Amino acid sequence: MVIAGIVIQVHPQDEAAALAALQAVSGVRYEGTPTPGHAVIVLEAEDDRTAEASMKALQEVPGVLGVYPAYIHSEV
Amino acid sequence: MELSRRSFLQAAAVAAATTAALSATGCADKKANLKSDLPADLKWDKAVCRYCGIGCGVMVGTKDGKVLGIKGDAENPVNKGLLCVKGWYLHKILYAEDRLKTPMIKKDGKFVPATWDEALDLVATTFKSIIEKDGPDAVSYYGSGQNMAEEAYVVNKLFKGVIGTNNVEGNPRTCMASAVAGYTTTFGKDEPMGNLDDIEAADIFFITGSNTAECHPVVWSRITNRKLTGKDVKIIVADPRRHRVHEMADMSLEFKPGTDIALFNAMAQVIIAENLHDADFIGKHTTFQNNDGAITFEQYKKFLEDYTPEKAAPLTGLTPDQIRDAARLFATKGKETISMWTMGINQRVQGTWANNLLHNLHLLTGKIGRPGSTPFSLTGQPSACGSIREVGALSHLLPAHRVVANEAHRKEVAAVWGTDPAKMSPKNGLHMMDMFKGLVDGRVKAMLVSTTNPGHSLPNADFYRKGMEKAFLVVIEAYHPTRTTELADVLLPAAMWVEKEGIYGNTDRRTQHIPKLVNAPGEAKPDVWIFIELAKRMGYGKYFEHYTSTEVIWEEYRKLAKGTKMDLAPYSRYKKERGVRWPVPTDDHAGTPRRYSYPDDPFVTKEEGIKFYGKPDGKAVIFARPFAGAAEKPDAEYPFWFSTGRVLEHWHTMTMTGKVPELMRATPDWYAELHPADAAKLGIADGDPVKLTSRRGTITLPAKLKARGIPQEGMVMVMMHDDRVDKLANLLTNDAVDAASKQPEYKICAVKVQKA
Repeated sequence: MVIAGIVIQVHPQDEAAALAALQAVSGVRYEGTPTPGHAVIVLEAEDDRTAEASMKALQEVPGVLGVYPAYIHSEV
Repeated sequence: MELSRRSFLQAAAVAAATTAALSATGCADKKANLKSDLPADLKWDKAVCRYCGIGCGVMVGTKDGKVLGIKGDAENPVNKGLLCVKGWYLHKILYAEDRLKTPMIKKDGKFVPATWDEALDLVATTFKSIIEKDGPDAVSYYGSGQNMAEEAYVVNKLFKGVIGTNNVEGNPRTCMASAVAGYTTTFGKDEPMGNLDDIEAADIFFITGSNTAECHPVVWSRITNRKLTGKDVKIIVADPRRHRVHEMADMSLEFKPGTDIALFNAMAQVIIAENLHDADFIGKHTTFQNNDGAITFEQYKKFLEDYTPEKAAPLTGLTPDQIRDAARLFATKGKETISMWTMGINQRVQGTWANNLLHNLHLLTGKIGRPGSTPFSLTGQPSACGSIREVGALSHLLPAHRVVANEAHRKEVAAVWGTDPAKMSPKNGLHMMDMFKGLVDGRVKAMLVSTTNPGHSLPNADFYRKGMEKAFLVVIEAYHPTRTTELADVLLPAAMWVEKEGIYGNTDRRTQHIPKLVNAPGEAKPDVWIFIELAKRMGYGKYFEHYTSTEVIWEEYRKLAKGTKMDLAPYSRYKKERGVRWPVPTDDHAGTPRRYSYPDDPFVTKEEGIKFYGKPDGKAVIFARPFAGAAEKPDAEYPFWFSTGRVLEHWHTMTMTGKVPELMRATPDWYAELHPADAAKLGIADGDPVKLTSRRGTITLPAKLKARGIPQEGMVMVMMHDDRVDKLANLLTNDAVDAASKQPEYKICAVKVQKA
């Protein structure tokens, strides 16, 4: 079981489209944008492989400048 | 998983990420990082990331003797709660299946398990017999910027103070030796004067020889945040290969490999010719030198006449206007400019000079010594600064930036070590490449290696791997096999990261503590224990038996730092605080954010304002350094430039990140990046196997025409991570070294490219 809190840095010009695309990624729940350009999501996955696929998808969303995990709980 | 616990973990994840987002943008007060945000069923302790030199703080969650959770430490000012993707999987490096759990001795070509007594006795007796027969310089040590400071301190003492050889080197020679030589020659003292907080105060970023976005991602997050939220913040990137930094840049300078020396001189020429320099600062705080000695400002100007934009343009492949625009932006009056660089500058035969010329740009414009303006070298390993540069674990150094060639320094160190100063050699030991060459030609018979993988990471690797195989090679490692352990005679299993306690020192002089949180697997031991046991078995126990804890070792080392302007804090403070930046002149001093300028530096008075006190006259040196180019340039037989780099998901030789399946799947294949125009000329399609041949070796990889980076036309790029023995990028790279720093030119050589 993987539960992660992630900060997604998005380019302001692409923010709306990027946020919409982020929420389409499997296991992602958008929690808000507490400060401009920095969205907070929770990524939940049954296993590391699923989490990995979602992470990869997040990085490839147009307008995403960086994906920065802030909390990871992973039962190895 | 129970719903209540799951909900709690979700809430913890949101709280941690929100805190990190707020902290990263300077919007959170410290109360935001509540301990109650952390799931209560884990025990949480602060530590430091195991990877690059930025020194991100991590909170490590343990339960039942295992690491189960990782959280960016929002209280740590370095990363303010953020981590990169490597940090995501940090805990997995501890639980790799190929952890080395017992000592091993190679017998008849095969490793067999041994007891610690058998392995250590074999190492001690072999080293002793070699020393007795061939002298102390026939043995050597090769360590790492991933060693903890206490480890480097103890092994430095064993070899330099007790055995009596200065053959002590470390892999920082491969990554930042030119930065050391640059800071030392220009300012008289090593290490950056600025700090990571300069990012938030900078208006102009000059990033060169650094793929910051992939190699220092948390720094990149701070830069992009500054770019997006600051007023009129600009980024100049100067690099022969387009990479992710270019996507955010306002100005991209894709110069020909090795010609940045000409570019930086040309920028200096424009700065002076267009009166963008700070004459008052130059007059008060600088002197001028060329390679023969002191010169005048007028002579320096004359030297720069060879580097007008029009003259530099054909050398660099840039236009005169590009050079002028870059110089004007760098020197903009009333703006703060920070330059950042790493391997692209350092791993060069002109690496020291390139560092000098970056410093020149700051000294000419007076953009130094105040928030946002500084030349800031980014370090590649977590404690290259703390454990190697500061502890002095290179062949010419002693602790606290002392040098072996100085008799007074040797005596000062021996007095604290409790050793005989007469035992210490006054002559520099062999530098890294010469030491490994010594293994090949027999001058060096034995080597002890700790926490590094030279069988993969040395340039011209095939040549040096033969020497490692021939000599008596002892490797202290957490994993087996690696490209180095396979060449060894004895393997000693090492505890790693939070399996042991110690100190790391990061890229902005921040010293941080890592606690022991879990036990190492099997019989693995901390390196300090291994070094002390070896010393005892070699008959030197009396010099080491008082080292009963890492704290005792640190406090002894701290005596050597006292009064050097590299003063360090008591161990107890590092256990509690999120690091302290040296110098720390008194036990309760808050640390020094910025060196050489008042009021940040306690060693500079208000009247002095700025004082480069590493130099006797308090003045930094602006160097006239001529352009020469790479040691090996393309020619008819080898017509392409070749360079090496890194990707976000991996770190160096992948001994750690290669153990994380998720990171491996993120980079399922390794490849050679080609420019599409070159590929078209050679009839190579994306994915076609291409044979790359240099004067030293051949590798074959699939071509990639649209990777994360695009090399310029005439250039090929390969990631240095790939650990397959017949695919090592270092089979091709050049082992020519910088004359001053002795750092090899990994970044540039010549190859031919053929469709395989």
